[in-house]
Amino acid sequence: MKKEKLISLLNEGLSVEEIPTITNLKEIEEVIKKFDFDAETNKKLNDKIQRLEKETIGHANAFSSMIKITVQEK
Amino acid sequence: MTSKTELINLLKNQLQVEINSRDIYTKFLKEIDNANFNKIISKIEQDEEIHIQVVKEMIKIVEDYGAIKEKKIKKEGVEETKAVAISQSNSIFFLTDLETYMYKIKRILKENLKEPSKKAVYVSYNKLPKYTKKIFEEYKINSNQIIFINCVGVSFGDDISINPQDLTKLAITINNTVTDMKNPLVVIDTVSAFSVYHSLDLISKFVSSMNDSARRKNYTILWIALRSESGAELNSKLASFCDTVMKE
Repeated sequence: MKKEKLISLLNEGLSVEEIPTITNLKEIEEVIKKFDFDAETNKKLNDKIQRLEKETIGHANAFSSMIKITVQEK
Repeated sequence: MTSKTELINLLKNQLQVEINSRDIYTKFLKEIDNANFNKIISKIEQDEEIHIQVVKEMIKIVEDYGAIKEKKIKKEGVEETKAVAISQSNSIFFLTDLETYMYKIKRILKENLKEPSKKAVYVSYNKLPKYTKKIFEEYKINSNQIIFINCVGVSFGDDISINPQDLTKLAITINNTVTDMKNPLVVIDTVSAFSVYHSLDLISKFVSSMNDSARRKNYTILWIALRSESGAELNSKLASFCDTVMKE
């Protein structure tokens, strides 16, 4: 696979993680904050959101690293 | 729309995002022939499968819950205040986190493009504009008020496409694009990504030169930068070149 094509695919992976995924999760987190859930439900929802956010950031960082490696490869 | 329906719709949207992500990575694994990268992508694909289940569980929790009341929260006009600050500076260094940056950008853009005559130029340095545009569309930001420039090396519709290594061409294109606009906002998403292709010294010269152009041509340039340990030196240097520094 050509370097340009590989970078383009990796950029798409980065875009998917950074734009719709992280942005939507933040939106959901803000909406949950507005609602008066009981403490247990609130914790359950927040724990799941935190997990999704943490892993999504990990994915975005992984794609960034792969892009950097590919760009710097001769 | 009731509060519960609003939340369920957002979660269903998230479910679709997770399904799409998994499908994209399945496709990548068939196309990419780098064993090391495929190992990483395969792990990400598995994570997405788990994320699909997690979001389904969240939908069930909310669906099974009784009526949801909304808390009374005092609305602080943060976006309005920020919009005024942005319109009064020619160069702004906006330091933020990966978790929240797009969430903040869409609010800033919405506030700054309230008047239909206002225009913006959006430079997507390392991300595909189709995702950015979709988020803006969902947030009811009028894309007709925005000219998109992408540096991902692929053409998308009417967008202007620039090679990420060609900063001279990027500078000329931005300055030509704003020529007939009245006090436009130029958003650089993100200056942190420049470091994949360029040295700290070159990025500094580019930022400094663009800030001079913004003053001369009377536009506002908003440099989005992400907090990170490896980017600390770059962020500190670039912040010193800008009229205003916003940290969130």
